[in-house]
Amino acid sequence: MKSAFLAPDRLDDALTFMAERPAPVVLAGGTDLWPLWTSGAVARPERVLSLHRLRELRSIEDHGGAIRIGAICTHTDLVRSEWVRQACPALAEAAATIGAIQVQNRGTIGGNIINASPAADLPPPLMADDAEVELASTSGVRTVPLGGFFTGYRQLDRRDDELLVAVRVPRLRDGAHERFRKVGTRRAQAISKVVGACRITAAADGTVASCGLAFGSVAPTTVRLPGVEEWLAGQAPSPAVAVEAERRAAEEVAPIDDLRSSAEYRAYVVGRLVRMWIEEL
Amino acid sequence: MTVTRSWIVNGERRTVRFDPLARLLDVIRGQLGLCAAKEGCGEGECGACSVVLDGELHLACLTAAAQVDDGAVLLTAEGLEDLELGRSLKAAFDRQGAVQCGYCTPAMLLGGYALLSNTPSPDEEQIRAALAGHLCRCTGYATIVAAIREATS
Amino acid sequence: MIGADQRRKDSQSKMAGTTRYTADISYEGMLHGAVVRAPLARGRIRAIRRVEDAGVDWSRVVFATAEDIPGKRHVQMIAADMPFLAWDEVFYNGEPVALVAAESREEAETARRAVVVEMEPLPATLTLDELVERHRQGVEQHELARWHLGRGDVRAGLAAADVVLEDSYTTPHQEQAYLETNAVIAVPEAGGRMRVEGSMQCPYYVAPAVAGMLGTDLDHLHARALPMGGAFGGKEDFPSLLAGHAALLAHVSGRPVRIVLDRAEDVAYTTKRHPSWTRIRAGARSDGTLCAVDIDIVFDGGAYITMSPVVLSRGAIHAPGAYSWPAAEVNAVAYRSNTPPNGAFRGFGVPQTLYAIESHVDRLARACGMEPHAFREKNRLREGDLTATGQRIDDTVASRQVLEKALEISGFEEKHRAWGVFRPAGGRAKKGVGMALYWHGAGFTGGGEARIAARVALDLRDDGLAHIRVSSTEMGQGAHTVLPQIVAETLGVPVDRVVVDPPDTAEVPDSGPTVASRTTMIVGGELETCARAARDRLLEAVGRLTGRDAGALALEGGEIRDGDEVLGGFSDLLRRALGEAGEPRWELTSQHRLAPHIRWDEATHTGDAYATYAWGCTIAEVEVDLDLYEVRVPRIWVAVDVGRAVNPTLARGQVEGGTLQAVGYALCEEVGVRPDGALLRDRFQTYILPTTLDSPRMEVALVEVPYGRGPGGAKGLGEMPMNGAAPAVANAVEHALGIRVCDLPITPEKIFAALEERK
Repeated sequence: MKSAFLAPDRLDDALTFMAERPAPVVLAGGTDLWPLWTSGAVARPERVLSLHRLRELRSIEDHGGAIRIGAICTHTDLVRSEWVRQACPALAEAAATIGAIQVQNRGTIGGNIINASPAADLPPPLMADDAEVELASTSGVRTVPLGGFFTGYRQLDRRDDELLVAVRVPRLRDGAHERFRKVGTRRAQAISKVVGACRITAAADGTVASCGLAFGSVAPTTVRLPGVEEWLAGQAPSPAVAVEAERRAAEEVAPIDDLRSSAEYRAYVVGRLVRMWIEEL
Repeated sequence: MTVTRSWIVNGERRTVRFDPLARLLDVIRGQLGLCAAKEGCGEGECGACSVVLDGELHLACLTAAAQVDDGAVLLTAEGLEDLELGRSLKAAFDRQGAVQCGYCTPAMLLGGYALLSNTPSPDEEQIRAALAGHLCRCTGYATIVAAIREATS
Repeated sequence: MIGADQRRKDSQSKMAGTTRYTADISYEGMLHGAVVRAPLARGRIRAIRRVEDAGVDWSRVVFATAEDIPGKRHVQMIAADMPFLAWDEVFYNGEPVALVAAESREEAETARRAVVVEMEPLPATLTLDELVERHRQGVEQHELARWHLGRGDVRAGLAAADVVLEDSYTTPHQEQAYLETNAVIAVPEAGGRMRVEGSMQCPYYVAPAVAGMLGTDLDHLHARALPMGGAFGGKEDFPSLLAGHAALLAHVSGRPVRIVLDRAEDVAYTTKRHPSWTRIRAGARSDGTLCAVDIDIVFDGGAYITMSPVVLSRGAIHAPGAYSWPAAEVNAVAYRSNTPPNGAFRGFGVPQTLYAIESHVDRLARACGMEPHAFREKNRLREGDLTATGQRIDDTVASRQVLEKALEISGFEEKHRAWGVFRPAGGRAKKGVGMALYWHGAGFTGGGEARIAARVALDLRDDGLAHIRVSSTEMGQGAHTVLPQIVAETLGVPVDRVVVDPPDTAEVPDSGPTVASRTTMIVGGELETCARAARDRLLEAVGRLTGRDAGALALEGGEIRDGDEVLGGFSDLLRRALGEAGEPRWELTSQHRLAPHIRWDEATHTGDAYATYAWGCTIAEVEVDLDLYEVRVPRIWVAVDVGRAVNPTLARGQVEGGTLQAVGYALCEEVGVRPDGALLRDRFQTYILPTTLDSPRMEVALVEVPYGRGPGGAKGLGEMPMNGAAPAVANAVEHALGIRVCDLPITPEKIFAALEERK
């Protein structure tokens, strides 16, 4: 069966294609889709919309309080971008842990989000940073907080005609810092057992003003830890606070056993990472 | 609906025609007859299908051939003999014993080529990080890393 | 030549990408084959249906079942219990039931999916745990192999011991993970002949198996080994099955048929290392002298016999380790489970049992208050000692040399005292160091080499070259470089004057399989004999040609000399001499005979298990992250006794490669079984191989204590490196953390669970 390959170079044309019924399958880098097509797990689609010629989706823009990252920026683009490294260093660090060089050269931030795997590496730092996604369609543009974008296991708040075009990430401010850690089955080319990130903002008196703690591979979607975050707000960092945060974080998640890791280990790792991040303050 | 493209492959202009959802790997091996790029796993884990596309290392098994536009510059292992850096890498691999079964070798050479083209004097950690997307089951990587270090001097 | 870092003969073409592996080769009219497989782990086939309206034009698809087999339905191996295609009972999920072939891979895949195998289920046994549970309860199970060996009074020995330690150790399936998957092409030839060519270690295993299936003989069916992208045992017995499939499709269709397994199919359905359970009860006196050991071994053989008897035998013989035991007893059994049959993988039973004994000995040492190296030095096998099979080791035993060398290059003693669980923790990681001392019998067990009676041939031909004709195959280990080196040295010519003919059963004699660390030693040894005869033959002919006394002639560096006078080059004079005699070639042959002093009783497993042993010592440094329990292995040191390194670079390559495979075995590789009997981690995404960032810096020392019967003193090396790293890493982890994980791989999850339990 021969497929149709659509490769517009204007966003408007792409959005027009997206309005078709059924909508075409969107292809960015292809690093998540090709294994499915090659193995036969998913049938090759009849109509594919390739984004590779949409230059405007590969820009990184400074919007003052936030940076705006085009959906087909590759992981290598993120690793190399001075702006990304300054505005959201955890995101750059996460991009550098995906696969290996070849995969980073091809995989995109948009694809990593849209694939909606709970093990994805970019959503944790994005979610910890309160990032938003921009969805465009022939009806206009809709902005959705990433926290609300993942609605269930591999489910998104996205209409069939909407194309993810950009990610907005609030800039890291003075007094705040971020951390990222991926725990995988090996040191490269690994799907995470646990992947997490934090952005912690300190108040003038050194207490925690706010924090975002986000983890992947411990739930059907990437999740924040609102319970621990709320408890930490106003606390002065200390070894005792770190230990208590560890206990609360481990209890706030309910991971599963699977072929990569165990529920007990995952919960422990979540707690321990939170503790380590607090201890560094 | 057949897609037609014109690429510069190992320094030569080549025209290819393929189905819309053909993989770059299949076009390179099938139509272009360049079999150095191998299918080791079909899912982007082993690196044996690596090619250099417009100066960047990519996995041909994860690349839609139709996303490679006209004028793209492709380097496969067959093209290394025409490049000075390619020749020194191969000489180093041979001297160090970095070739055993040979299945990962073409891709490893390209990985080394891509690294040294951007980073002329990498340290061991950088070499290992650059090659982390290439699995080798024969060598334990020791001779491969040694070969790339030799090629940098 | 021998001892030279001769460059590989095939490295240029491999680097240029011009080496043709099986998947790179096509023939006109070639079809693509695919295997239809049973969907249940155990049951009876009720029907095999081709579905209509599934988008398949069945008139364009070749289809075959067991009913189409002209000859034998079972694959000839040690036993003939495994069918090429099941037709009644099914014994594992994925067992081949039917075959399809079509013009393209896509069509073959679509056709494969459109064949339904209807089955009536039967109860299945799926895991090692189930086998061991029943074994311990004495419940009868289906045995694939069983061996007992031992000597001395173990009961008395344990009673007299001051320290007795008992524990059990388990290991999982390990996948060979060659970068090139299994692949074969069957090509009909003129005169009713057929050729099967492909990725295979042993063309002389494949040819009789396929000929038997076709109801023909080796004159009409020949097997040719193509360059392999790795094998490690995974292409020792499996290719007979796959070649049979391709040949059947070629037979039915009259066209060439190629089958290339994709990675998921290869990991899911081809042979693996046997999962194992080893229970050891061992005693020592308080001064550290070993008294007695009682070992109970269970291997999970999978659904059919394949190589289990020999794998189990080797595992059992090596199970007591590289030590002198006054009394030792080993009971070993391989049971059937309803999973894909397990088979050969580098080490062949020894990595399993050596992991157990080297872990156990380390703990005994600690219980006796002795350091690991001192304990091993005290008890290692020495010349004149008896093994558990009653073999007196009379030729050189290099256990001392490898132990000393490994200690020297690693600084083990200082590290062992400076690091470890009781040392002050600095930072958030603990360091540890561990060692393993091991041995590996070279060549086939016992009388195996007598049964094989390896034959080799060396031709001097009118192209001016010496042609090696052996069934030894090139899988990356360098056989097709090392064997020419041996011949070149003895003949007296540069290596480029010696070539290796493709191992095709129509063209080469049966030198035995390329397995068991025997190629350099046994096949190389016989080629050395042929090379001497070839040299004499040539000099004799040149003497006649030039009217000189052959006894005064010499062939050195590729030149034939009479004293100081150079008469001519090897190739020129060879061509002239052959031309003069009116012959296209001279063939020199030799056949291996087992050394007469070898006495082995297979039934009782007593006597000389191997003509010689190789010895090794591996020392591993580990760093364990105390927060996340990830284990890193920054450095490994390995000293191996190779007799003589024919090619030091290639020899080191074997050690480095095998060592990393063993590190993977220790830390991250395991397959697992799903509830439906399919293998769990069946792709490279889930079956975790070490990358460059996961692999240690390695330092390898080749210890040379020449073996009298090996070419230039060389003995077998290929498998040995697989034996040491897993126990060395396990011992290092215990040193660092004070806990022992007795179940490979040693994952952070298991360390975490063990530490939680200790709290």
